[in-house]
Amino acid sequence: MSGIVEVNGLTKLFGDLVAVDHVEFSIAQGEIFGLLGPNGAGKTTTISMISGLLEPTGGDVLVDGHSVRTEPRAVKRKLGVVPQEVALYPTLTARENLQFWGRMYGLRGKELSSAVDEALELAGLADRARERIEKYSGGMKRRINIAAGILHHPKVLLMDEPTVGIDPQSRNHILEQVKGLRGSGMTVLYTSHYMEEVEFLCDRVAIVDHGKVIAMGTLEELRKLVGDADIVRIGVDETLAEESLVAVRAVPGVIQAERADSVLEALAADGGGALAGIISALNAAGEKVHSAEVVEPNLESVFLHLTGKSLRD
Amino acid sequence: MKRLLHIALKDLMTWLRDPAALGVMLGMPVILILILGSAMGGLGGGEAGGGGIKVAIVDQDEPVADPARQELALGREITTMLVDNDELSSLFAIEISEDADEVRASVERGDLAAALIVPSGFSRSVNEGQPVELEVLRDPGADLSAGIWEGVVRSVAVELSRVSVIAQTAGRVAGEQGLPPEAVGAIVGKAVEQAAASEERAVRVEVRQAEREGEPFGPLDYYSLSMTAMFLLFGSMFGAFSLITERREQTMSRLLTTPTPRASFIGGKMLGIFLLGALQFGVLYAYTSGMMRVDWGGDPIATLSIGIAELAATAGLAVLIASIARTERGAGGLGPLVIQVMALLGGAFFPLTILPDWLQPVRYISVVGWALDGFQAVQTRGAGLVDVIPNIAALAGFAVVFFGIGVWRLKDAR
Repeated sequence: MSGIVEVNGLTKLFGDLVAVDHVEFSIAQGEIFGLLGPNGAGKTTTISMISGLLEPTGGDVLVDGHSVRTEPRAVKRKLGVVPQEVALYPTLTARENLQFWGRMYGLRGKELSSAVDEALELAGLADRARERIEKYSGGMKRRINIAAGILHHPKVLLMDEPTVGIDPQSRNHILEQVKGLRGSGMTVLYTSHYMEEVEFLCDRVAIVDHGKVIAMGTLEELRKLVGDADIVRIGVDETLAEESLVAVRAVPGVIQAERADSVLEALAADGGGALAGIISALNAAGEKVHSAEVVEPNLESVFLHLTGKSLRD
Repeated sequence: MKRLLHIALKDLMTWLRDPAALGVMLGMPVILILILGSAMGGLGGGEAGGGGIKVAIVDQDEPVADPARQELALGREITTMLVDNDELSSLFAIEISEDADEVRASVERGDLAAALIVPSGFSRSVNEGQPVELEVLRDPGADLSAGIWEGVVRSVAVELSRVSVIAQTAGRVAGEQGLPPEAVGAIVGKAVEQAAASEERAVRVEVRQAEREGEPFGPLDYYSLSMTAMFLLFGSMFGAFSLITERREQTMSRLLTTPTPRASFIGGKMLGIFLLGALQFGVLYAYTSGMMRVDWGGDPIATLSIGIAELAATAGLAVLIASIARTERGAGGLGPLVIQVMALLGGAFFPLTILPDWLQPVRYISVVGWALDGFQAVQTRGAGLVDVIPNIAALAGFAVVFFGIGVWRLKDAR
């Protein structure tokens, strides 16, 4: 059975740069599907093509049976989009913003009024609906940004990194808000480079890197890709030498090791067993160790296993 | 179509909450009208400065034979007196014409600030001591310049009146007494004295306003029109800001992911600019005509049509500026520059008749020039809707060109 979203051979070139390279996936009705990948992996470009904002260089997307190439307006009627940036009008109030976006989705009269009320309740900002958006905190703006994308009850909701740059409290509120959409039967395509969010929300995940889907499946299926391997996460100086990294990779049991900022992540068959060897190797190389932990297999370890680099890169 | 309207109303609401936009669109023109209207009292519409106030003389007079003075050709003498006077030639650009009808038409069109018509039989009447009139035509849109010309002609008339009285007195006394020529000098002296004391004027000046009655137009009338024509164009700057901000803050991208067509988005933005300008036009029109007693002319439909056409050009210019500038900062530099140049070329700051003839057509490369020319035609020359169709068509042409280039440049914008 075909999904409500069918992405077939989707490709986008910007000059010589291949931003999205023959991406294929299918999303079932009511599913929360994650696109996980580092910045610049092609997630936003993929969403832009699905939403009709960018014309694909190759391939096509079907949303509820309508082609984005030949029936873009029919596709747009099925979609709600929550962009990465807060795309609202700062001098309008929250209610005025939602009314405007509702009208752009074709809502009118009482239907619009009740949809706006409902969206404000969902965002937890009904009591501040008359305030201008410019007076809101970053997290509150994000919540209205999401509310503007869902108030017309779209069949498919595209969310492009909706939690970037906000405080933990607002982030939790948003994640709960998105999880709650599952009950309404809405299908969600959620992009993020935060592994924890995707693990918390998504039924299935596609991992993307350099414009390509490098792995796809349920969380369980993806974890199996790295077997029983663990991630050993070590706090180090950002000036960690390349020779020290080579020394860590040479520790018995270590499959891969990469540093991103002040965190060294090593994929090891037995994390607990490799931990002592890794710390010894770093000490021998004259590096300082600020913290150490062993993490159970997760999407981070899958990404590290598949690409040899961290999601934070 | 409804989406287009909602986009326009959203923009209008945003601007009405922006004190800076309101200040520029409404506050500044009101202040400038007051300042320029007072400070530039030396200038009025349809007038000239450096190149000379444009006036004409039509001499219809015929010389008469006079035994004492051989030939009396006062029309020719007046012309020579005015044309050869160094002080006057620095102030006036005097055209000598034989076609009184054409000169009347030129004054009515505002091409000439004023004219003098010396009527047929003028010399004969003066010589016979009969009352006679010099005709001065005035462009009501060039109040000050025409007033200066009228003053000059009046002083000429005073001199001629004296000459007339002297000639009559001297001739009469000499004829009656049969005195020798040397005695005539004494008689003339007496006659001059009498003429100087005389309250009566043998030569009178009749002044006619071209195609209009009532109060003459002053600088306040001119600057009310010119500042309105200029500040309507400022809507383009705020329109460009709005378009650029929608792109930068990605509300434009978001809009384009809704079922709203790109054409509705651009159309809505243009309609917003148009509505803002219409509101501004209404306020300025009401303020200048109600509070300042400025007469916009007798055909409000023609005035309104010119305003609408200029607003269409303004909306087109907004799209063009947004397509070139790309950033708010860029639009903030480019917009006022384009508007000020157009205002300067269009005569918003001073009447273009002060420029040499060859330079005056520069107004036709300016939106402000076409709009102001149309407003003035209605105000000072009694023009109606049909008369200003060329202005409306030119402004619509600007709108199409600006919009076409702008949309072409923005076709891939998101």
